[in-house]
Amino acid sequence: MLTVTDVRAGYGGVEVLHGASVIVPQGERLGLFGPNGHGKTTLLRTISGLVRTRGGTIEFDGERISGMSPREIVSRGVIHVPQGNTLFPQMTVLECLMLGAFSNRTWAHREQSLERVFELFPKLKQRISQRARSLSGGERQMLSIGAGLMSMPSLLMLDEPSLGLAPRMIEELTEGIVKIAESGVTMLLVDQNVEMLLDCCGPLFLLEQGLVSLEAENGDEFDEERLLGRYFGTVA
Amino acid sequence: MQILLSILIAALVSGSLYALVAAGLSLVWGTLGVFNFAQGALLMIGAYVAYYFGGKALGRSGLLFGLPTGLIMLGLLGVVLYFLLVRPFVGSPTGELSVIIATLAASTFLENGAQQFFGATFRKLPPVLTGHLSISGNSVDWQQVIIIVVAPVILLGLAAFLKYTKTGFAVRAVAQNEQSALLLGIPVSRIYMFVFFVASLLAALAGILFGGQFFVTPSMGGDLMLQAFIVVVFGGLGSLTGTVMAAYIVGLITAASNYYIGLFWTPAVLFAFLFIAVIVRPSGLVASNK
Repeated sequence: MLTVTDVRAGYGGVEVLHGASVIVPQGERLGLFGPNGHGKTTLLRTISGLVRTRGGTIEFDGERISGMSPREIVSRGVIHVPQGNTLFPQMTVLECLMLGAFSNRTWAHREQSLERVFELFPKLKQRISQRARSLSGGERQMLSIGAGLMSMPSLLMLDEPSLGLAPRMIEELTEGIVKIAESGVTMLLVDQNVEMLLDCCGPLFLLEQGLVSLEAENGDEFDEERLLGRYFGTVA
Repeated sequence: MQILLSILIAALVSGSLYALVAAGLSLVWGTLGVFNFAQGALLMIGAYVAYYFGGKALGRSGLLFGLPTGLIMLGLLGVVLYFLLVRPFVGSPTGELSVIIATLAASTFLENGAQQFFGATFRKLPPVLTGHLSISGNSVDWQQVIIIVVAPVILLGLAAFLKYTKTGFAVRAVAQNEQSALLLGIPVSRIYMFVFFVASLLAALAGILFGGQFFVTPSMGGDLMLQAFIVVVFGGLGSLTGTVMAAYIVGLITAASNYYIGLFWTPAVLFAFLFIAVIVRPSGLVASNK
């Protein structure tokens, strides 16, 4: 479904991704982890068109999306929920969600989408007319994901959804994420919380120094140990 | 009593004109995070367009053609300026500064261009309405009444537009978080263009109303721009409510200072006031979202 081939990208004079490749098959839940500053966020920003590719290609459903504007990429159903997102601080929960359905393709379905979001995250319904900035960290994360769902994603990319959240909140979020995936949305989940990824995802990838360096099938003990060993710097 | 009334009327007239100019500056700042120093020059060009497309030859009935032509042409000129001077810089690390310099340059260019093309002679646009009415011994021009009424109506319309329409909804979203707006598929650069269109249109309206009450000269934008700058800083950059409130306060100070202290001291009085205001309330009357 999503094919990233040898992508190079960066900011100014600094190249962050040095030829990263990854394939996300239809219906898969793929987890991506790795140390800080090695390009996880940049990879998502490149896929969603915020950062231009300097080499390599990104294809979605057989169509080349590298070089398109974020808006064109969103309209193809590739949705990126950014890291530590405060969304629109002065807007109410309902307004933020409605903005998620802004494009013409999704605006017509906004009522059904809204119901779906409230089913997944009932807490948001209780906060419907509250301003986004007054929400707790976990609720904000739910709101960001909710706004992403309002854009009717076929591929949903979440960047560090567990960042700064209490373990209890992470559990609740994990449940929601699994439900979204079960409803048929392909997912690319980036997080440093490997435990959470193990709970949510199928295959896991390690992104290190701008390259996807290791791949493991979740549940395969040997692979998993090798992956974690590499990440935490111990020899398993 | 009569003096107070005439000061009040002068305050409302200037306050309304400042509000129109400053609302455009504030809208651009709130949405793009840049300051458009060409707003004053746009106002002046707007007045000249209305003058040459109808006002000059046909007088008051010429405004029927001159006014809408001035508004539309200036809205489009605003879009052109956006593409030439703003869009190349927005988002770059020093973008804010580059836009200030680029729009200042455009402002100088337009002012001197106007001097060259139209000459430095004072022109007068016909007022929208002629004649005057008298309120307890004070004579008030109908044009002044028009200015006092039109500005708030237009600004209320703008506020309603931002609050209740889908485009207005998107403008507010882009102002609060540009990156999220991009990632939700909101056409951010089209919104920027639209904001420049509206801001220039407001400037042109102010210029045409001003030209009907006072004079049209190549440098007419400079003074109004200075007052509008004080207004947006005092009102809280990016906040429309704060800007409009500040416009009338600055209008009142200008009118009172013109009468009691003298015309030439007014800029000094205004800046003294701004210094104090910034010390007491650094974020302005109404703090914006950023």
